[in-house]
Amino acid sequence: MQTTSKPAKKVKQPQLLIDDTLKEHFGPSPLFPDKIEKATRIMSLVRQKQAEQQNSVK
Amino acid sequence: MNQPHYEVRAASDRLQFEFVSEGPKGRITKRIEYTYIDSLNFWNLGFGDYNPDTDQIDDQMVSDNGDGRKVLATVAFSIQEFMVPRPNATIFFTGSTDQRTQVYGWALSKYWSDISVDFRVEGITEAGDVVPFVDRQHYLGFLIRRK
Repeated sequence: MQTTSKPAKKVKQPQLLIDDTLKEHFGPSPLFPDKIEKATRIMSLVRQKQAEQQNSVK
Repeated sequence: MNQPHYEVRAASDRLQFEFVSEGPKGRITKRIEYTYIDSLNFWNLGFGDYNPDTDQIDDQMVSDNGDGRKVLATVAFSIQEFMVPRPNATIFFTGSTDQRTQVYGWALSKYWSDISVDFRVEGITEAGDVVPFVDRQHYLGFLIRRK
């Protein structure tokens, strides 16, 4: 006997609305300078570690 | 993710997004911005509440509007949309405090079955190692790539 399974129920999602006036509302400077500074600090550590690992393989 | 998300407005380059959270505390405008850090080749995901009275963004506040899952699904939706023109992008995100970063880790665990369908998530350890995300570990931040 064949059984059929129901496909997973898809939630109807709102579409993305493109609105370039957001550029004006957000302004020219990054909104999250503190977060960028923190991210840069952490990712510098990551890249340094990756470079050390690559060098040790060579 | 197939979780319900809010309606989202975005700039056509998909670097800035805005949506409105609705809950017991009213309507709260949320803004998301992706910023490329050229020297280290990654994108920072910034996310916070917009206060129209002060015209300021607050990324430290816990708005507690009873819609955390929907907000997270909306942020995940923005990641998907951001990656449409940048399928190989690496996104970094962290909390404004250690505690907040752990809350994000908790949220990743809670919705892992949804998130892991579309995204590969890694954690960054104190030593600067990038490791597959595991629940209840302490991370400095998280990296997300599309699968």
